[in-house]
Amino acid sequence: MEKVLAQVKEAVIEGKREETLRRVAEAVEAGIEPSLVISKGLTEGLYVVGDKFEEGEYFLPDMMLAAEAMNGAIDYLAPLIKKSEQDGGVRMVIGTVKGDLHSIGKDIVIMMMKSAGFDVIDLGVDVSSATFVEAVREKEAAVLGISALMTTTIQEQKKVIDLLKEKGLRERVKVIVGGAPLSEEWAVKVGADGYAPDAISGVKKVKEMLGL
Amino acid sequence: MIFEPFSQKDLEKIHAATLEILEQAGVIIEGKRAREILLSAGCTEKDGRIYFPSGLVEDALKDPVPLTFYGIDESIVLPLTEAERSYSHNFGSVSVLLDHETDQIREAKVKDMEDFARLSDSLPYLDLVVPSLRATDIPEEIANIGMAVYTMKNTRKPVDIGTASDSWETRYLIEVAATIRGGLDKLKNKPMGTISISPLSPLNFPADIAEAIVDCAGLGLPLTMLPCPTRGLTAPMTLVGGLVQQNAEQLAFLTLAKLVNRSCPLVYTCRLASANMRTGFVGGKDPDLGLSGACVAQVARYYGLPSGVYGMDTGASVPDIQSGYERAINCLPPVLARATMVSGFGLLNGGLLASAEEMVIDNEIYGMLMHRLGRDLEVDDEIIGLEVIKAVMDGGNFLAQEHTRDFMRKGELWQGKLGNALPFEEWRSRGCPDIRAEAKEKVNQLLDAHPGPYLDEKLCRELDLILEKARDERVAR
Repeated sequence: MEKVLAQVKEAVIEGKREETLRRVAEAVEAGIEPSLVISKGLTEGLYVVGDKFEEGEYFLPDMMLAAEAMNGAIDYLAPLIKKSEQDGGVRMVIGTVKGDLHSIGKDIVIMMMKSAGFDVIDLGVDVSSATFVEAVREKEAAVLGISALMTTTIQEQKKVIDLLKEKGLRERVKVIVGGAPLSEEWAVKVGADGYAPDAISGVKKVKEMLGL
Repeated sequence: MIFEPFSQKDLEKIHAATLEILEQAGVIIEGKRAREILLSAGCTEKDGRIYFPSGLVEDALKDPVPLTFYGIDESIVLPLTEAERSYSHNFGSVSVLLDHETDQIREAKVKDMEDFARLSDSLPYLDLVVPSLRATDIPEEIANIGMAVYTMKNTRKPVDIGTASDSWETRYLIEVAATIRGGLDKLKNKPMGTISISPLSPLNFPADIAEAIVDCAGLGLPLTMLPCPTRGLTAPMTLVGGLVQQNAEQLAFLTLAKLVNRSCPLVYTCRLASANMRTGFVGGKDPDLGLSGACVAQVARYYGLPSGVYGMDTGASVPDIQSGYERAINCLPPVLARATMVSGFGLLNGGLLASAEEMVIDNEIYGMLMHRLGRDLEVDDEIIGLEVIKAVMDGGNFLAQEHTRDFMRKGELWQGKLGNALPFEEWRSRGCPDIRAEAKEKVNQLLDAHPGPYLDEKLCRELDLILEKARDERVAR
């Protein structure tokens, strides 16, 4: 069992999608509990990837490939796991503001947040204020991430936060804003709880905001 | 002496790969009119994507339309198509600046927008003015229109009209430019600059963008094709792969525009960037920026199109040593490759930050490049000085020769206006002046000496009214 799980872990570290799936299938065939494959194989692999990233050995593409390898395996394992065993983690809703179709920065943040154990709901791009606010209410999100890339669209971040206030939801959720033209001053100005210049510090900032 | 990174065979390979992408990978194009135009011309559609037959693209590339810019003062002329050297312009659309008086980073105001336009107007080595700052003290809804108004009021030079992101705003931008010229037809005959339109990468034209292309090309106004792919994020990691994808984005844009209107002039731009692969930040600290600009200069020339490329770029947030060497490394290749337009005067931190003192320093850098590196060398007997060499060998020295004096007057030696070249003792005795202090002083001198709006009061008032009208339509009171 140890050997099979070590192979799963190694495949994630190497960011090999096909091989991860194959090793996971082997583990299941060998009778290992799917939840154990996730915790002792996939997740441990991703922790190593996280460490390598922190140490400067790994870069974003390494992280992305490892996360995708893991997500593919989890999709395969999910139907095999009893509902009660699934641990959701802290819920975050995230999206790119209305009028802005840029997704890659947001996608990097999602990948990092998921790797850190958050349950992330992606609203996609060109998301209206109403959709953001409705998702926060419906999904009972603890964190809201609002992304905007262009100097012409960052204003929308304020509109989302204003609408949260209007609907009486502002106190229920921590709000973090992101995007290349932003600054700490901007975050204060639009009424967010925090800002981060990149995805790694974004994860730290969110944990700090939640007192984790 | 023109720097050409590619061989003829390379260019043909790049062109063939581009056609293969357009034909086999296709392009996401939304917008009803754009899709109809492309499909009725022979493109095919599958799962929403549009596929371009090679013949259609080749046909659209035929007979490129020549382009010349005319200043707000029409006597200032920039013939882009026959340009013998690279023209320069400043950065565009930045909302934060490094204040040259206080050294603090702060948001841009309308007053700064006017000052930057006047500064651009005053710098002799800056050819084309781009609406630079996006002021935060005018309502967001009309910020782009305000940029055009305040910039065009304060310069005599050719000016870029702006970036089209939706049709309402684009109509206003065109109204501002047409009002200055005295009508849309006059604007078409003597454009002061282009309208820029940016598709998304990879190969994605959302509805607003595709429709803006149809509208603007229909009017026959010159367009800047401005895809902004980032290697490793929204384009292949490899420089050449990024260039080919960008080329496919350009040719998809070009094919659509030409199907709407064959006489629409187009500018091929390179905004291929790279990201920090640990943070995803796109920040200018990249020696490939200049090289990619040189590559695009050559590819655009292969198609007979004028090019616009990055030049003065840096990751630094102050005009420091890093900014200086990164600018030099990135500006030299496109200038040597004779790119038609080189961007970036006054830009810091990969385009997120603006600086007036950097504008003045860039004027000096560009002047040095244009002195000789960016021009063709001439060789003839007089320039060689055959006669003067013989004369001096018969007795005398070069200092007391008419040849020396005449060529000095013609500018044979670079006469810098900025920076230190004093013997160090003298430099020390003058209190060790540094380039930033010098540049800051120069900014104030130039702003004090600027005569103010070039347009007459009546025309300025008309522009204000256009801005007011836009405000009434879009801004809640």
